[in-house]
Amino acid sequence: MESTKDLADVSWAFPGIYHYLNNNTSSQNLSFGTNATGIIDIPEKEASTIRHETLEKVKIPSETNVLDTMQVEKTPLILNLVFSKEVENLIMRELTFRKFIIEIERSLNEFIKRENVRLENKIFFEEDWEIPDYTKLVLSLNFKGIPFKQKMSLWKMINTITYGRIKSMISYSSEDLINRFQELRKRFFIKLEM
Amino acid sequence: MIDMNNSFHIEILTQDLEYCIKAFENNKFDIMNIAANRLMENCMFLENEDIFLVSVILKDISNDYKNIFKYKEEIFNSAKVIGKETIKSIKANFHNDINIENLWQDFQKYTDKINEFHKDELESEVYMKNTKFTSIIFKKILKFLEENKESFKKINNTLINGVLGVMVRIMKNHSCTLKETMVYLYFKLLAILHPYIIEKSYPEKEINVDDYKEYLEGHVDFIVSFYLNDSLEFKKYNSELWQIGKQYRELYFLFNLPRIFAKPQFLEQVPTIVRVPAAPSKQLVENEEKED
Repeated sequence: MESTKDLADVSWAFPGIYHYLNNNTSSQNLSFGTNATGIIDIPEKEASTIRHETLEKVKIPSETNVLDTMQVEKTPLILNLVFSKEVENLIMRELTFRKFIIEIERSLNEFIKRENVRLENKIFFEEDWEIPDYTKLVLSLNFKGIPFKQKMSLWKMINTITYGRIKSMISYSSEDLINRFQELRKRFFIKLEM
Repeated sequence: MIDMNNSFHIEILTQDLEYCIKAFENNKFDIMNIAANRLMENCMFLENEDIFLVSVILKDISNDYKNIFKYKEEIFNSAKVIGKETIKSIKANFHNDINIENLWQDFQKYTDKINEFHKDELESEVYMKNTKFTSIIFKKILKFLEENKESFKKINNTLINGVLGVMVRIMKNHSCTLKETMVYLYFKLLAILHPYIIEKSYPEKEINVDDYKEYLEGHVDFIVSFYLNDSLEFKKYNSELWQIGKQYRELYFLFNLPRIFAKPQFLEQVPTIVRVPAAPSKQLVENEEKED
């Protein structure tokens, strides 16, 4: 098992993120994050309402040109996932962490394909203000031009997909990986930028 | 070792490298492949074997990311971290007189990690690292290759891609050591050369003995003995790889585009096996027969 000492404080790099996790500052009582996050049931009515709202549709234009006699095709990415330097370093060094990040990316892509919305995001480590030596792994999301209530619903949906995938990954993992996956899950938070 | 006093050469090759890196950064992997080809070609003209290895590695990386971008987009961003860090290390090595062994170590680490991204979700759940098994299969498949090397004389043989396909599958699912990575890259370049050898023989259905000995037999004999030998002779290996690259670019000037790639009906049938280039196959012969 590789070390977790690489979990570093990078909160200075991404200031101004509104924390919805583990506090009651929002009008809704949210209990996502750490073990409480688990799997969240979204009422079918709520989910289907969002699907039909007027949201920015993802369009993928494609173009081709010719260079050195070869045809070159260009297709932009649907999701541009941004990692902090510390997260990139750990992706390089630790297989278990890499697998964990892959599941997060799969979740976001599943969400985007299902809901057809565009989002900005970052994944980084953040030191907890109250508990020294406790470093959180944070996925920060930003839906631009979407009303607050819809943002919250989309955020819940991402929680459902992501933690569902993580739970499933843990269930089929070998015993030597399970502890590390569970530790990462405890440290993993999904935040919404306002 | 590169003669760094030859700043004119280095300046040109640096420009090719920078173009290649920029293409990677902008997710333009077809262009990255073209940039790696330019680097390779300029290394040929400027006779620089060490930087030639850089070009072959970058060409392979572009091939990986083209496939991941196309078929595994849902994990592309995570995968790109691996290439980004590897290219950063290659660039640092490039600007520091190139240490061939370090270059190989970088490519080995890259291969080990990127193979995780070539697995599908179910493969990731099931297959575990087992380099002992990889070594057993490599020995067996290379023995099979040696026993059947005469079949290279027939233009419709698929031996190189058959062997490469097994290597890619085993490396992907069970991981590998540096030696297997070196053998894989050698075969990858040989598989790129092969269609041009066939084109050189056109319209004959068999490759003549001289071409077989010059372009194929020697390379097969070398790689089999290289793998079975306990030592890692980087310099000797590099020279052999350079020979394949040189032959490929020379035949590319003479016979591009090989008929096999020009057939639209063939291209449609090229399997999407990750990391295995389009292979000459019976389809070519069938097409020729139809035309006759």
